[in-house]
Amino acid sequence: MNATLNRPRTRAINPLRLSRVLLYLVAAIVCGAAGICYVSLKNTQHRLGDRVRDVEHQIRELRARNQDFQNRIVNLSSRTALRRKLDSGFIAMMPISGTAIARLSPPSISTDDGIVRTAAANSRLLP
Amino acid sequence: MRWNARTRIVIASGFLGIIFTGFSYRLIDIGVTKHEEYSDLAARQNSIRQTLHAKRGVIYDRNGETLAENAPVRTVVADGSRIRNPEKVAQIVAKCLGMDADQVTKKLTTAVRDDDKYLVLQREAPVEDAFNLKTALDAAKQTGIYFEEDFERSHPNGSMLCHVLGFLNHDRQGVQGVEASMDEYLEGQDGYRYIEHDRTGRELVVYRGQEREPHDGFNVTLTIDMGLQSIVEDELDAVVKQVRPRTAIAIMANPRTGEILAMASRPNFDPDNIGQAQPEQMKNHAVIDMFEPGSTFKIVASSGAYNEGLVDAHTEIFCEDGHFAYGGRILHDDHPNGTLTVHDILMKSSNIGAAKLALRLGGDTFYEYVKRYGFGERTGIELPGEIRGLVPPPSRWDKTTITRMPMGQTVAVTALQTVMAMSAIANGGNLMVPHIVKSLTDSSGTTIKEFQPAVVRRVVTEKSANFIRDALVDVVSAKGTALLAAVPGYDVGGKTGTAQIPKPGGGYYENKYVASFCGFMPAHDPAFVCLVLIQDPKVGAEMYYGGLVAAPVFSRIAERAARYLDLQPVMKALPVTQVASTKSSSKEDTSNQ
Repeated sequence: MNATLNRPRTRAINPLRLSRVLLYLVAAIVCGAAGICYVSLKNTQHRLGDRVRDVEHQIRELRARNQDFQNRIVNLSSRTALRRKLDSGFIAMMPISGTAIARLSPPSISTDDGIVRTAAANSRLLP
Repeated sequence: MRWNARTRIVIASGFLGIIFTGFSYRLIDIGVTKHEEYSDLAARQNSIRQTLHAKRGVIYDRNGETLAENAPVRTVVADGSRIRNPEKVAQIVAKCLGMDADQVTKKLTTAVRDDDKYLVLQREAPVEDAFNLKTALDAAKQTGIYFEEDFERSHPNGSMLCHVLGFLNHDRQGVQGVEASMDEYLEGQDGYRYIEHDRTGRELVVYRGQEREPHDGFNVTLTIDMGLQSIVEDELDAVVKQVRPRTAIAIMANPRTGEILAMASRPNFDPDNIGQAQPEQMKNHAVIDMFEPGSTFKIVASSGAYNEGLVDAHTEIFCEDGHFAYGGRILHDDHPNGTLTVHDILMKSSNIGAAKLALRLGGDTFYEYVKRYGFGERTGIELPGEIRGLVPPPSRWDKTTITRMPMGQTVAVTALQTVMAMSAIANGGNLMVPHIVKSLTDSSGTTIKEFQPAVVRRVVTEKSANFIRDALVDVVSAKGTALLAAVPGYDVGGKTGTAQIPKPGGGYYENKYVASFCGFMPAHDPAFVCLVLIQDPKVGAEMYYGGLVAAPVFSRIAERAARYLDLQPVMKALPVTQVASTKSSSKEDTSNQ
């Protein structure tokens, strides 16, 4: 018989301490969760950052378009543009008849003092 | 040593412990010890200083009408490394930007082949076109086209007021006009922001660093009234078309405040198309050009002599029947005059009379009055390039200068100086500082600075100014030289000027003249002073006089300005019967034609 076979065989037992395992497990889970939370927060930050950038871009675009439209309105209603329209007959200037002028004070009649006065004399501040 | 399981576990654990200790050390070394070094390196590689552009201020007229504004535009850029389908992208770009599709396809194909990351397809593209292009590209799921923000200066009224407004160069700096003189206020202050970007170039907003907000430029409000400006420009265009002068100038100012209400010069240019303008067109002749004023300068000697008490309303001066020998030369009057009062000297524009007034004053005193009126010094208006003019001191005069300068020869002045001198007569004797900028406001509308009227000095007493003013009213009458400057219903004062144009080498051109008229209205309570100056008009013989060329232009400007400003007429109304008969006769005239 082989001597090795005759050796008394003892069964090797590694006792598992459940509390210790649980401790490591909890620590690992906490660390893992913290890491995942950190990554998640970081991703959320970046995602929100992207949205901030996109919104800022949209605001800039809107402001630019708003400015563009304002400029068009200014150009279309500018003195030169109105003059062009007036010359082409697109718009016309109608004289205001004397009876259509509302006066806050009684008009100065030319026959009173013999002086010709315009409709709104003295009502406008000179520059 | 027994090589059992425990030993193996200890060795393996120790080995792993050493490895992880090494890793930990390296981690701490990178993350803590060399944190600054690697942060800087990362910043250098990925962080950039992004400029936040300030908006340039807007320029308004006195009534808030926009004169110069910022039009947002886009520079359309292609990144060849990110274009997948150049033909399709080219079609969209060409359609939205109105470009030739074949040319765009060629450009994009080349950019893709050469991996060109920055190919400018169009500069100053309208925002609306850029927006449509982006929408179309997004819809077609195409990439590789980017838009850079930019702006261009826009002038809603085109060439009107171009010399006063000026323009910007390629670096967005004011070159001429108010754009140049008020550049430091209009420009604003750019801000900045330190940003980091990923390898695709997209900004990582989380890592935004230090930043400073941009401060927009101040808005500038001018004293110009565009209603009056358009009247002045209309009439100037009409006379330029009629007499084809080398240059033409018109300035309108408020004599009490020194505010410039209108200023125009010909030739002019389109500030929105500056590349097409010639240098001569860009000059604001009202402030950078000088000329011999001619008879408008006679107000200096006459007001000086009256102010010094050397003459009064009744003093008579013999005008030598049109031939006055002095200093070895003969001085002529256009029409022979005998004895004239100071009033008549101005009314008839006698050269000999003005010379004799200056002789009474003496060279030094006359020179002092020339300087008192502001000739020979800059007025200080907020426009670049203003010149002083040329007023030689008595020490440099020859024998005849004392007789030539009072009639506006041997002296060179600017159009603006003439307007301000006439304003001094119109307002009762005060020389005002001319202003063309009324106020500065920030982007929220708060007034930052307001330019107040300022008196340079009192030139003559109010009594003297009124005396000259009354004489100038008679200039614009059948007895004077400027009947054509009259405005029905209003009293007008003013003085004509007709001066030969000097040759560069000395002497004068035979048939080249500067015809001018500087007047004010209503004469006894002036709302404005206006100068019309026509240099070298192409007119027939004996038609070059200021009273014939410039005075009618003044009359038309003043008549329209009176309606615009709603000035109260002072002329007696015609009786109703006479008005009716006038109307019927005019109808008959029309029917006869």
